[in-house]
Amino acid sequence: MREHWPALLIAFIVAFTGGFLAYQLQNPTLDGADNALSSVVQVQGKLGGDFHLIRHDGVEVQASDFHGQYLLMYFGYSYCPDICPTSLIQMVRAVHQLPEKQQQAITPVFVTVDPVRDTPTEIAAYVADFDPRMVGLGGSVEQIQAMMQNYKVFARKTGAEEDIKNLTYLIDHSSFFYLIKPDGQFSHLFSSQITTEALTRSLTTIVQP
Amino acid sequence: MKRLFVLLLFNLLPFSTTASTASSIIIDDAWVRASIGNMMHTAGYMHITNMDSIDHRLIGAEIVAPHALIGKVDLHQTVEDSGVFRMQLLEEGLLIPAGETQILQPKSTHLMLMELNQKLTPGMVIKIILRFANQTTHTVDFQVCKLHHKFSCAIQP
Repeated sequence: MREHWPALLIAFIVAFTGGFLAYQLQNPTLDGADNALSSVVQVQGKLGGDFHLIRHDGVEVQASDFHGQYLLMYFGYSYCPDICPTSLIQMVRAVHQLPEKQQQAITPVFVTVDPVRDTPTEIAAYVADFDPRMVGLGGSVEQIQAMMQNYKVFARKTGAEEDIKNLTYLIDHSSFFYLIKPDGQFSHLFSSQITTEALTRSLTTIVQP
Repeated sequence: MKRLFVLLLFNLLPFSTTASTASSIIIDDAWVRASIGNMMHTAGYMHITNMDSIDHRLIGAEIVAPHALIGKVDLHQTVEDSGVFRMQLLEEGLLIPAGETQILQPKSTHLMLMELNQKLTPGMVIKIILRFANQTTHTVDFQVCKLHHKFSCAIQP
């Protein structure tokens, strides 16, 4: 499984670096009024698509089960102590700041990149602490790999061999917010460096309830 | 009476989250994010100011209270490279240059509290001893904040 990571990393770099690095250079502070615009990452090639995963309540789901609503999606893992909770809180708060109708049109989604440790039970307890409306998605290693490939997500376990064995490893991973349209098509990709306010502003203009 | 005196003395101390053994290091805004779901680890944040004329280096930290709480503390830095985030163990500790403040905050440098034997709930206070390279220590009270707080217990994201 590990030998796939370099390929995924290359796919990821090809897909994202052009737009993303340029945005970093132009916006060192990230607090400017243009944060919303500059934090939209330009994507080349196809992103997203169908998926077959297990929802936090143990039910098998696919992309079409979510048709009719926007999905605001974040890939992470529940053992992640800093970047994931911070990003997920931001995502939830950005949605909460929207007018009620727009809020209801968006389902916040957490997708694990760590299917070994993040079982549906763990994911259920995790997402509930962020927002009762948040959906958590996990699945088999193969299902998650396919999902990550389609969404060009990079993740790599780090730590000593013992950490991998004892399930105390950490994971390096890409951190973006994905907006998926009600028809299941990819809409926008936001840097997780976006401010909560800028994400709210973007969602206000994009989401049509 | 003696006890009352001690209480009064305690009240006279300036409001601070630290009980330090050296006055040259000042710690503010020390907080820990409440546990999420069933997770037995979380992150802690603070501002460390070095009032001294020489540099200091934070080299380690340990949980000392509550007594029943067991866990490991590591000094980590979240590093971003083209959208990929990774956590780095600060093996050489954290340098706090003379006269400067190091801010430990989300998506940046943090204390990683791991392998905890209990969940941390808002309102709890965790005492952590910080060890510096010059062999001084500071015992700091970390407030456990609700999940939705971001930059301190008081400020929401």
